[in-house]
Amino acid sequence: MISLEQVNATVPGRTVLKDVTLTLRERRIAVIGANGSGKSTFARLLNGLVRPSSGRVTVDGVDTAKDAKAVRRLVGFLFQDPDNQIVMPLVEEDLRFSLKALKLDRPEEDAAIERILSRFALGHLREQPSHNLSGGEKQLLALANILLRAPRYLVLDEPTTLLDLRNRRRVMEAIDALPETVICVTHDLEIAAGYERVLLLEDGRVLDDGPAEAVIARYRSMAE
Amino acid sequence: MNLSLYQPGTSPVHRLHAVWKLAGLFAAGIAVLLTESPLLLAIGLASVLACFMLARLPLGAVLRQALPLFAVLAVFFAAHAIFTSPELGTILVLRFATIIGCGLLLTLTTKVSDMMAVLERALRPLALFGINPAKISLVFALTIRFIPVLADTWMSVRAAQQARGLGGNPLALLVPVTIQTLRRADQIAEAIEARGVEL
Amino acid sequence: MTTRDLVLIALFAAITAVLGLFPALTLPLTGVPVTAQTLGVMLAGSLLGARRGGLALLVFLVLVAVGLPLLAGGRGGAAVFAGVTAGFLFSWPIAAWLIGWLTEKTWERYNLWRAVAINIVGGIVLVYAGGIAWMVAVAGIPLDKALYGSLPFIPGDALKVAVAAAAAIALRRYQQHPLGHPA
Repeated sequence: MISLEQVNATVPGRTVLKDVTLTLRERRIAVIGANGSGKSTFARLLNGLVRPSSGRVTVDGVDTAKDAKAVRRLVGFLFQDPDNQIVMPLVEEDLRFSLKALKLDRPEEDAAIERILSRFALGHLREQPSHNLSGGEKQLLALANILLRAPRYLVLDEPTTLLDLRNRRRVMEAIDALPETVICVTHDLEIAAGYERVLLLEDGRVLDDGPAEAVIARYRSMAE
Repeated sequence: MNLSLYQPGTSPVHRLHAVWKLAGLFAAGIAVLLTESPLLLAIGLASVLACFMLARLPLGAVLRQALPLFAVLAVFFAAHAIFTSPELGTILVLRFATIIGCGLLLTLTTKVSDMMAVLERALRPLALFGINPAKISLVFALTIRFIPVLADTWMSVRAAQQARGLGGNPLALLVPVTIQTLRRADQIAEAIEARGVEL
Repeated sequence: MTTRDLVLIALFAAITAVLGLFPALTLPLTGVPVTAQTLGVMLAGSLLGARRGGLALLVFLVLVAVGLPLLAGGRGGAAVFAGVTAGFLFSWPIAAWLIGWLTEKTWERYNLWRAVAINIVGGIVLVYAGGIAWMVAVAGIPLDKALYGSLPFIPGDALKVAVAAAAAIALRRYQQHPLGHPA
């Protein structure tokens, strides 16, 4: 369970999130809202990339401001741009980089890499330069990197925005199949529609919170 | 984009460990300074050439790297022949050609990853001075990883500026590419932190 | 050094490599290619400061040395550091460091003219001093000949100095203070 208690968050010069109190325990939660509504900051609060300027964020009881390391083990984060999440020249090296913190021996690392690649049908790309992957494959590689560390929660920040339709579908199918808890910030209302709970952010506040259908209807009416 | 000059092969030169090839390069660098005899230097150069034969490298790949370097040497020899003496020019050209040949042989027969492994081993003692070798390795890997990404950025910005009629303006290219790169740096740093990798 | 510092060092080393993909002009007679890569030297120094800028160029040169063909015209490998003109290459990290250091020192009063002056000191005076010193000391070329041989490159480098200075000014609001605190 992730909980936010009276959380404010600021970037230099402005308050991005105002007095947010929430408990997140559903298996699929979408966060929608206009650009600048505070969605990205909200996502970054959940794994300690952004710390609240006041209030408290806890993940399974761990305070993000106190033990960022433990929080990051619990919460994996997938960013919008797949390119910026891949740091090693070869696919295999990139996965090994994620495993470093787990301090496995070499055969265990190899087995973990093999398992995760076959899970996403990327096994044939193991020795390829990561640059040669398609956008969807890169995003799946980024996802694989996160899952290698077996987080309990996954926060996705617009994971399909930069992908074409085919790649978008491939990544969404992979995400739908995840047993982990997923919190997905998205502009893609089709994704949000399938989720248990949807949060609508507006100007740094939670304007609406509930089942997908009702919240999306309200968001649509705001645009009119 | 091919980011390596390595020419695959199975020759003894290819199979020799990168450490020994590097050691050979340094030894050659010192050896050529120990003599001024054109005959000895010529023998040195001939033995480097023999190693090239042994490595059975594709001629095109060798010439592509060698020609620009040897073009400079030709000009260099001419300069010496005119301004100092052809004898001195000969000695210096033989020295340079030998070292350049050794360097070329090393590069064409050794994988970048093998060279990096040697480099990382060599840098390990830096830990004594509080410099983390894992950080150094990460920087090298990131650079190799992002050269093609930034090349793509460069080409897309160039296409956009050409469409706006700014194709000939270097600032219209350099400034947006650098801005995108600075933003990208923030996102990469954030992603590395989110991955929870302890350096 | 923070993760962000490491990433910036890597990306500016990569930018310097990308600048080398430009077609290189080779000046007649001397054969030294004129590259856009010294733009990378000046940008790294003026945007990242002394430490990170110098390290970015050092990383770039190490990657060239281990065999990546990152110099203009697709050249690379240990051989290029044994050439007659290798002194120019060796001076790049020092030049980036010096440009960064001078930029940090003049940060509060930084403007286009200071940027130009700093780039001339680091990007021309220091690079040529290194290149010419190498030609004289290692390749035995008489000083005056090395000097004259280098003159034809000055116009190209002067242009690059101007471009890099204008870019540094335009980019000022996107960068942090080279010493680390916000601008």
